[in-house]
Amino acid sequence: MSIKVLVSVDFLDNQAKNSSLDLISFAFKQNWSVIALCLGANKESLETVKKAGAEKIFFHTKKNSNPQILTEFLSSLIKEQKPNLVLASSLQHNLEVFPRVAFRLKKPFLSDSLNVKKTETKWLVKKSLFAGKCQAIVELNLEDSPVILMRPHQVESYETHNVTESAIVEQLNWYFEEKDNYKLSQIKQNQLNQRPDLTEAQIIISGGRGMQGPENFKLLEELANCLGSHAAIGASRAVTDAGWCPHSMQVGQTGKTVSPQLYIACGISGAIQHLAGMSSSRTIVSINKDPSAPLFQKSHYGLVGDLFEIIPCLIKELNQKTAELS
Amino acid sequence: MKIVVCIKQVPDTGTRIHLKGNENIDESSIEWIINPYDEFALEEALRIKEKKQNSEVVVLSMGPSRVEKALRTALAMGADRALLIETAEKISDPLLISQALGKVIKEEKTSDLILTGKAGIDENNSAIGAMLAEQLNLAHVGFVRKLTETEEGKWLCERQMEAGSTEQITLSLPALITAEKGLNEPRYPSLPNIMKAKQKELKKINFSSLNIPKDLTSLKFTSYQIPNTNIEPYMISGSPEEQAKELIRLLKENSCL
Ligand SMILES: Cc1cc2nc3c(=O)[nH]c(=O)nc-3n(C[C@H](O)[C@H](O)[C@H](O)COP(=O)(O)OP(=O)(O)OC[C@H]3O[C@@H](n4cnc5c(N)ncnc54)[C@H](O)[C@@H]3O)c2cc1C
Repeated sequence: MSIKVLVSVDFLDNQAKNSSLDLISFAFKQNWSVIALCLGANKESLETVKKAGAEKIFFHTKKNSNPQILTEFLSSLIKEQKPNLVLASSLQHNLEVFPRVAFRLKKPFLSDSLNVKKTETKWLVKKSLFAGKCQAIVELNLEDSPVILMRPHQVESYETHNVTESAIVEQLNWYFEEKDNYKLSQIKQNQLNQRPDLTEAQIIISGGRGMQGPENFKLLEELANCLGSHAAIGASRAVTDAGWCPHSMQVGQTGKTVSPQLYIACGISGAIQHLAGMSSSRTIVSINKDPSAPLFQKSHYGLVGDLFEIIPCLIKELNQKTAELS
Repeated sequence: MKIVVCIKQVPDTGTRIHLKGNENIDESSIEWIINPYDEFALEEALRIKEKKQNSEVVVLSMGPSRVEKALRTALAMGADRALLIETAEKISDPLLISQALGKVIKEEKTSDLILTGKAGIDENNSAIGAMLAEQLNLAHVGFVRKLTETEEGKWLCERQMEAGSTEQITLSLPALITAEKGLNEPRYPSLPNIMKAKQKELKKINFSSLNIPKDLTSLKFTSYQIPNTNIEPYMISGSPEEQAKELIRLLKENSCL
């Protein structure tokens, strides 16, 4: 049986997000045929979607923000295309729309999933529970055609594939009629935060109470700058509760669950609620003056010492390396 | 104004999870609490009630009998009455849960506002709010961290998106809203209110009496595993300069940078 997967692709500034391309490439490598749904895209931006492995692309230059309206259109497309699986990234906009779609089509729904596998008769979805303290395998019949939202960075990073036949591209002629009861009145871009979102960042530098005050987060900013545009800044709850950083920066069970390639914890003790949100990071580095801090037991590299001495040295070292290269 | 708040009982964030074999979670040592995000939803409902005369706050939950405790806490915080959809065992399929909750909400006379948390800290699906909104044919806004009534009697929802931008959405009621941390600071129930809560109405509804087809989907949690996150840390010693140099070298060597 050939498997058809519909991947809903997220766009930011007319570019497909890597997390979406990862999903297309992942499905392509399983020999599933991929239908990509691209809303808020222009024609040029579809190239990367094709190369990631999409066989068919539906696109629209607009995307409506009202989940109630989008549900209408997405449901009818899914009904018509009959994919065996719908995939998208576990991001806020998708988390508003896809449960509605699943409900309307009476299809099972799971989000924040870590992996999807197919057997002869089943879908096996790996879920993280209690913010990573436990993992479970969820079984679904193949013919249930579930809607699964995946946590970014869980499947391999996308590759461009040699797609032999060029993808079929179809522009959707959906007309989004606004409703009176829902009005998006304003979007304020946050100028300060030019960094990637925590859930998508490849490198996260997190500060805890050991940072001693909001003014010292400059130090982490500086370190992040040396590490390039993929680095984001996170914080422990001690920090967000004290108001040193906004809550959107909190990592942990009541903050964000993250799994970057590299997580550098500065002055964080390693409470269970913090660990729950970050222990699936690929490589963890802890800097703490207390050698018995519990986070060391979850870290790949541990540096015992004063972060106010170590971080400036890291910055110096990284700057030197870049200077040598140029 | 009538507000329905959907709450879930979840393990305390400090609880260590143990398994019984690999097919069940051992619930015997779990300390149960109201899902923190649902608590924000409840607190917001109570604040609206305090401002508006003739308001009623109904809390609704679903699960085995242990969930009664969470509802009593909600009553002690100030909810007027509670509804519990009692199930024999734990049900984890969002489609089933939302159908049951939706059915009970429909049986209640018209509700103006449905509030719930943005997600349960246990399964983190963020499914129930949106699914309920679909079932009840309501507009909904998720992840709200600030809610204000406008002069025209509409509701301004503010939320922060992943990329750091802030969105403002104006909703007309009836509608459904899910709460994000930051919306408010939930109150602790006072002793007199804990006593009073014992007299408040808590109605139990048997899940099977709702006639929700249980085989709607095949979704089943089949095996559990506690990931081993204990690592033998590699401690880098020396002066701060030496530590920094060695760390960068190791990270480069392991292509982390
Ligand atoms: C319901 C609930 C939910 C929670 N959710 C979360 C959550 O989502 N995320 C979260 O993070 N926490 C959460 N917590 C809080 C958690 O229990 C801890 O209190 C919190 O993580 C502690 O933050 P911290 O490590 O920054 O502070 P501390 O535990 O105070 O640790 C500070 C560390 O900094 C070190 N330090 C101090 N000065 C220096 C220096 N100059 N150089 C190097 N090291 C230094 C100290 O040795 C210490 O280890 C939650 C708690 C509850 C009850």
